[in-house]
Amino acid sequence: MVIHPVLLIAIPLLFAFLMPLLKRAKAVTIIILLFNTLLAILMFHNVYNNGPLYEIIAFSPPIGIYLYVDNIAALLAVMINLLAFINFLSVEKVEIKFAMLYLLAVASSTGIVITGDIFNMFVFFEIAAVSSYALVAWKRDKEALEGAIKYMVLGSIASVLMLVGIAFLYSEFRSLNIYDIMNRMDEGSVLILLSFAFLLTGIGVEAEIFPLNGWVPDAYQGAAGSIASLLSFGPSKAGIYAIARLLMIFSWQQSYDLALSVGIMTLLIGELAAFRQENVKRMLAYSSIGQMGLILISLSMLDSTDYAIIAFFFLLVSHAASKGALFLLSERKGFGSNASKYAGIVSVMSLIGMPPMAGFWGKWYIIMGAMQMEAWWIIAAIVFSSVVEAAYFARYLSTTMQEEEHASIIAAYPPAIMATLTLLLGILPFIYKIATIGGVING
Amino acid sequence: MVEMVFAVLIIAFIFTLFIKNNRVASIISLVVSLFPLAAFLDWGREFGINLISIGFENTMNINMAGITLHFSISPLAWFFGIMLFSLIPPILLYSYSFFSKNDGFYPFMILLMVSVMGILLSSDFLSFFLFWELMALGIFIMICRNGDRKAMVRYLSYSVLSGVLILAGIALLYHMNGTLLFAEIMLKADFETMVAITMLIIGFAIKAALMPLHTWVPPVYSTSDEPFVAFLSGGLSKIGYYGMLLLLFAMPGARVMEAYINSSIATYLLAIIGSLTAFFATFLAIFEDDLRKLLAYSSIAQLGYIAVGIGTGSSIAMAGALFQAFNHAFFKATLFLAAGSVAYRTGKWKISELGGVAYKMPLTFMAALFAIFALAAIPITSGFAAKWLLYEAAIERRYVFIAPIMLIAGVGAFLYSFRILYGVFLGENRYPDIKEAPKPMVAGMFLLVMPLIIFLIFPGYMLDMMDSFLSSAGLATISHSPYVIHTTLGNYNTIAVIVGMMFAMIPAFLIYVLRKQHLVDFEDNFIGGEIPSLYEHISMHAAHNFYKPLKDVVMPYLEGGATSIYSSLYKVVEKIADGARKIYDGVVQDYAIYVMLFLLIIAGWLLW
Repeated sequence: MVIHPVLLIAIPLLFAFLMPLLKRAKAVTIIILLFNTLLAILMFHNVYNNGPLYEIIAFSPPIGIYLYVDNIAALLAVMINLLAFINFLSVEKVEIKFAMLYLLAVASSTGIVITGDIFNMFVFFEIAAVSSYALVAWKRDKEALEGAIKYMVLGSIASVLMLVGIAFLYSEFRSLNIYDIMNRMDEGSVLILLSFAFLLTGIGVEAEIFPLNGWVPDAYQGAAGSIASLLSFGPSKAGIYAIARLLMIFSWQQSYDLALSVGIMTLLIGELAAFRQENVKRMLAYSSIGQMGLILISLSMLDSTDYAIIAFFFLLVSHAASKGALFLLSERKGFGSNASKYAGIVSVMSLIGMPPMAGFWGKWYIIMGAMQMEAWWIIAAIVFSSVVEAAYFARYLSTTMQEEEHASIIAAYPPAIMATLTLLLGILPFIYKIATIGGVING
Repeated sequence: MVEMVFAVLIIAFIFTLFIKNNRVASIISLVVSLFPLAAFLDWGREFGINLISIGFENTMNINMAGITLHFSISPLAWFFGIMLFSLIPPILLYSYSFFSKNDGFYPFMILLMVSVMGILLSSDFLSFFLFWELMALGIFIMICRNGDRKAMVRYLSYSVLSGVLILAGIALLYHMNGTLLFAEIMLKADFETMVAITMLIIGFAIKAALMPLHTWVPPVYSTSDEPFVAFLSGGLSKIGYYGMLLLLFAMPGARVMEAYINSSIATYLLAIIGSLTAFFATFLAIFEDDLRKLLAYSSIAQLGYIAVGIGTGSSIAMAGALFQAFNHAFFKATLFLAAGSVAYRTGKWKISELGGVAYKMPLTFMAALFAIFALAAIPITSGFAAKWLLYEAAIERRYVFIAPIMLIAGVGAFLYSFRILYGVFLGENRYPDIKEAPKPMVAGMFLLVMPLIIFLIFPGYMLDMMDSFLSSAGLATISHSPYVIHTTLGNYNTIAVIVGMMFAMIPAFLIYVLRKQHLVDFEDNFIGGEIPSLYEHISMHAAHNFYKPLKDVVMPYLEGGATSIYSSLYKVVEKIADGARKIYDGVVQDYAIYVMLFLLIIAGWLLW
C-alpha cells in the first residue's frame, strides 16, 4: 500500500481553508484529526517495515516540496496527531476560526517533523507560530493577549533569525535539502558557523530552550488549557525535533557541547523557576522548560552514546502526553473525579520518572548514557532537578487532590486517555524496539 | 509459581480498584495476601530451613522493553519475604473493621505486595529498581489518600532523591561490569565501586530512615491511615535494609569485597550512624506528645539498631540485626494498630488528651503491652534476644562508643514506652463510655503479637531461618538449639532468662500486693503550689510535661538538628529559585535582548 505523507499536511490545510464553508466545525475537525491519526499510524507501520519514505511533490528539489519520513519522524507524526485528536475532544465549544487555527497548528507541526527540506521547515514554523499566536490570544482577556504579544515578538525575531541562517546555508551549499547538506557538511567556514548560530537561536525560541524562552510562562498562562496542551505537544516538540536535526546536520563536537551546556542550564533554571511558582499553568510551563532542557541534554549525547536516542525518544513522547494531560487538568481547580486523579498522578509520576510510566525509561537511559560518558555533571544536574521537581509536583498534587470541582466527562476523560498512553508506553516494549531500529535520526 | 502469584495479585489489584464495599475488598485482599506467603513458605521448604546449602533456584524471564527481568529466590529474600508477608494478613484483617469504605487502601496494598515480592525475588538491578520505584509509587499514593501537604512533599522529594541515587549507582555498576545481573556483578575495592556503593547505600538509607535522612518519617507516619503505617513502618522500611544487606553481603560478588568491607571505615561509619540514630530518635520520641509521632521516632530509633548490626558485620551482629528487624516488624505494627484502635474509639491522638483507655479496651491494651515489652527489650518477649545479640556483637568487636550509646537508647526506649502505657492506657479513666475495639481489629493485633512470644521461647527457630543466609554470605553460622544460642561470649539460654525474670518479678509482685494502698485524689497531684492554668484539662494530665527535667537538660542539644539544617538548605534553594524566576521578569524587551545576547554569545564562541 502506498502512503503519501503529504496527505498528513495537505488534508488539514485544505479543510482549514474550507472550514468557513462547512457548518459543523467540531465534527469535521474531529474526523480530520482521526483520519490523520490513522494515516500517520499506517505510515508508521509502513516505514517501520519497509524503511524510510521519500516523497517529492510537484518539482524536484530544491523547488518542490521534499518529504522524508523515517521511524522517528513517523512516530512523532503519530504522536502529534493522536494527541491533537484526544486534546480536541476536550474542547467544549468550537468556533469555526478556532478549528481552522487548530488544524493549521497541527498540520504545520506535523510538517516540521516530516519535511526533508530546511526552507519548508521554516515555512511550517511560520504557520505554526502564527496560528499559535492567535490560539494563545483566543480567550481575549488581558493575560491571553499579553502572552500572545510576547510570543509574537519573540517568534518574529526567531523567524527572521531562522531565515538568515537558512540564507547563509543556501549561499554556502546551494541546496536546501537537509540530507544533501548533511552529507556535504565539513568543518566549515564562517558562514556555516554563523548559520548554525542563527538557526539554533531561531529554532530554540520555538523549542523553549533557555534563554530564548521568555514567552513560555506568559503564553502558557494566558492560553486556555487545551491550547497550552497543544503548544506543549505540537510546535514545541516539533521544535526540539528540528534541533535534533540541526545537531545531526552540524554534527561537530562543538555543537554537542553547546547543546549540553544550554540543556543543563535550561533544565536547572526551568525547574528552579517552577519551584517557587504559585500559578498552576505557569508552574507547568516552567516545568516544560526544564523537561525541554532534559531532552536537549539527551540530544547532546547523541554522538557519544547509543542510549541517547532512546532517552530522547522516551522523554519526548512521555513529556508530550503527560504535559498535555496536566495542562488539560489545569483548567479546573481540583481533580474532581477518579479519572482525573488517575490522569494527574500518572502524568506527574511520568514526568518525575517513576516506573512503570514512560518517563522512567527516559530517565533510565539518560542516566545510563551519562554514566557511559562518565559525565558526572549531567548526573548531578539530573539528581538535583529531580528532587526539585518532586517537591513542586508533590505540592501541586497536594492541592489538586484536595479541592474538588466536579468534572464533566468531556473534561475528565481526554487527560485520562493521555495518561493511559504514557502508562502503556512504559509497560509495552515496542517503543524501545522502534528506537533501536530507527538508529539515528537521519535514518 | 511466581507467575501465578504475580498474576493473582495483579488481577486482585484491578478487581479491588472497582469495589466500593470495604468488607468485600478486605476479604478479597486478605485471601490474596495468603498467596505470596504460601509461596514463600513453599520455597523455604524447598531449600530447607536447616540446610546450609541453597538448593532451589526459581528463574523466570520476561522480556520488557528489550531488557530481561530475572527472578530467583535467595535465602535473604526468603527471610524478608516470610517476615513481610506474614505481617500483611493481620493488617488486612484489622482493616476489615477499621475502614468504612474502600477508597483505595486495598488495591494499593496489593500493589505494594506486588512490589515487595518483585524486589525480593529480582536477581538483577533493573527489575530490582523497577519494583523499588513501584513501591515508592504505591507508598506515595497511600499518602495521597490523606493528602497532607507536608507529608506528600517530604516523602516524594526524599523518595525521588533515593530513586535517582540508586539509579545512578546501578548505572555506574552497569558501566563497570557490563551486566545488571547480581550473580555476575563483581564488586572491586576501587574508587568507582565505592562511589556506586555509597550512592546505593544512601538511597537505601532514605527508605530505612537513617538519620539524617529521616525527616520524611514523622509527617508521613502521623498523617496516614494506621493500617498502612503499620505496614510501612513494620514492613516497607525494612526493604531499605534488605537493599543494604543484598549489596554488602548477599550478592555473590560482594564476597570479593568482604575483606575490604570488614576492615573499612565505611561500615564502621554505618554502625555509628545507626547507633546515633537510635540515640537521638529515642530522645525525640521521649518528648513527643502526638502518639503517632512518638511511634514514628521510635521506629527511626529501632531501625537504627539494624544499621548497627549491618555495620558491625559479624555473624552475631547479622543475626541480631535480622532478629531485630523481625521483632520490630511485628511489635511496631502492633503498636500502630493499637494506636489506630484507640483513635478509632476516642478520635484522639495526643497523649495528653488520652488516658485510662485500658479499662474499657483491655484486649487492645494487652496487645500493646506485649508490643511494648518487645520494644523496650524486656524479657517477656523476643525483643530481648535481638538486643542481646546486638550488644554482644558490639562488645565482641570492642565498639566502646557504640555499645554504651545503644544501651542508653535502650533505656530511653523504656522511658517512652512507659509514657504510652501510662499516658494512653492507664491513669485517670477519661473515656468511660467507649467500647473495646471491634473483634477483627483485636484479632489482627493478637496475631501480630504471637511471633514475639514464640520467638522468645524458641529463639533458635529464628536463627534457623537465617542460617542459610549467613552461610551464603560467607559468615559463620551460630550454633544453637531451640532454646540456647551459643556465642563466643557465652550462652544465651531462654530458660535461664525466663526463670531469672520470674525471680525478679515475684518480689515485685509481692511488693505490689502487700504494700499499703494509698489512693490519692486526682487533684492531689498539684500540691506543689502549681496553679492549674487555662489549659487545666491538659496540664493536670499525668502525661503532661512528663520528663520535664530531662527535657530541660537534653532538648537544647537536640534543637538545630537535621530539620533545621534542611530548612536552611531549603531557604537557600528558595532564594536561588527566586533568582531563577526573576530571569523571567515579564518584560518582552528583556526577552528580546536575551535572544540577541544568546545569538552573540554562541556565534562568538563558535567563531572563536
